[in-house]
Amino acid sequence: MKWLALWIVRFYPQWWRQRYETEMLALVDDLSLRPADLLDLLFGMWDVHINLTPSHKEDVMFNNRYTFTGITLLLLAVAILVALFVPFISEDQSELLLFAAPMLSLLAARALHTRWRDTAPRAAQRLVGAAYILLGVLVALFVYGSITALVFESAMPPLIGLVWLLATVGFVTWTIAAARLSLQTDALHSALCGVGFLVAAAYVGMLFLLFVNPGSLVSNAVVTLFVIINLAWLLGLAQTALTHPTHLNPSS
Amino acid sequence: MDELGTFTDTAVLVLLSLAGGDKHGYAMIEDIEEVTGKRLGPGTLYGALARLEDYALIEALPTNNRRKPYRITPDGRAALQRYLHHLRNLSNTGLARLEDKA
Repeated sequence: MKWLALWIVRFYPQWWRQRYETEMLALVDDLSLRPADLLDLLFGMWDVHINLTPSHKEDVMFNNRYTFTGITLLLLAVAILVALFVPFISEDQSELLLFAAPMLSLLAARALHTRWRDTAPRAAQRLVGAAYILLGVLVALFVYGSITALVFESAMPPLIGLVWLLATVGFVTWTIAAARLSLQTDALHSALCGVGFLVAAAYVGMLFLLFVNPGSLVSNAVVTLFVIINLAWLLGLAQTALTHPTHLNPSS
Repeated sequence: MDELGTFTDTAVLVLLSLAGGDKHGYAMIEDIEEVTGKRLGPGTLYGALARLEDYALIEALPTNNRRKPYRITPDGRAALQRYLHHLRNLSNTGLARLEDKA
């Protein structure tokens, strides 16, 4: 059980791990771990990603443009690989652009943000904030849209309706949340982290679905997992809105 | 301590534990379990520690064999005192009302 705990800790944000990982791992070593502790670590990870920001600490994760660029490029490479093998709307491979565009936009906006972060006037920062919102919507559209399209082809009939519902609700919720996040850049960072998780989960799901028999128990298990991740994301947003309304308040 | 949001309960428990002396994470979990019967998970504990540290209500001491002890700050002590006074007033009022009705 300990290895699982250590594995979960690796998914805490970089800035958090730099500050707390050593002592947290020491604590995990000391504790007689129970299953509840693993869940607690998972919820703790979610809480840190959504509710805590490194702004007051050294902004390790988001000031490191090389790490960010590396991650984005990696995602882009995966997207291209997937796009090559999954012409999910038609057989036209030019749809590769559909996969690549959000990632390229993310990269471009990130570069802009890093460059202008401290020196740009308020108006320019607003533009960057608006770009982030657009990106959030694009990424959400991409994730929910592609997963839904793919799953629609392969899921067993009882799941299809649920996936469509989740896709719609998830997309609308994210769009509203992105609009409300506005210029709260720290919150935007957290939100992008959350979307990053979704993107990663989506790719894992898509790759699984590629290699397993569509409609099999395994592919449906993957779909179910994705639905659970969706729900967790939505609950996380709701929880943030209820307990930390300032994180979702553009005027604060 | 309202600014600590949903972690207020845990934050109070951590402050309460540290009011009895400097402790690292595991010692805090044991102490809190002994006092309240409630066992904090590692994720919950570190969520509270991070917030308390942000608000300068606790401070980290030098690491000792991977374990970092924490100490309650004067601000933390004052915040805990305010909270406990508030709780005592609440408790007194509640008990008085219950006795009035009896």
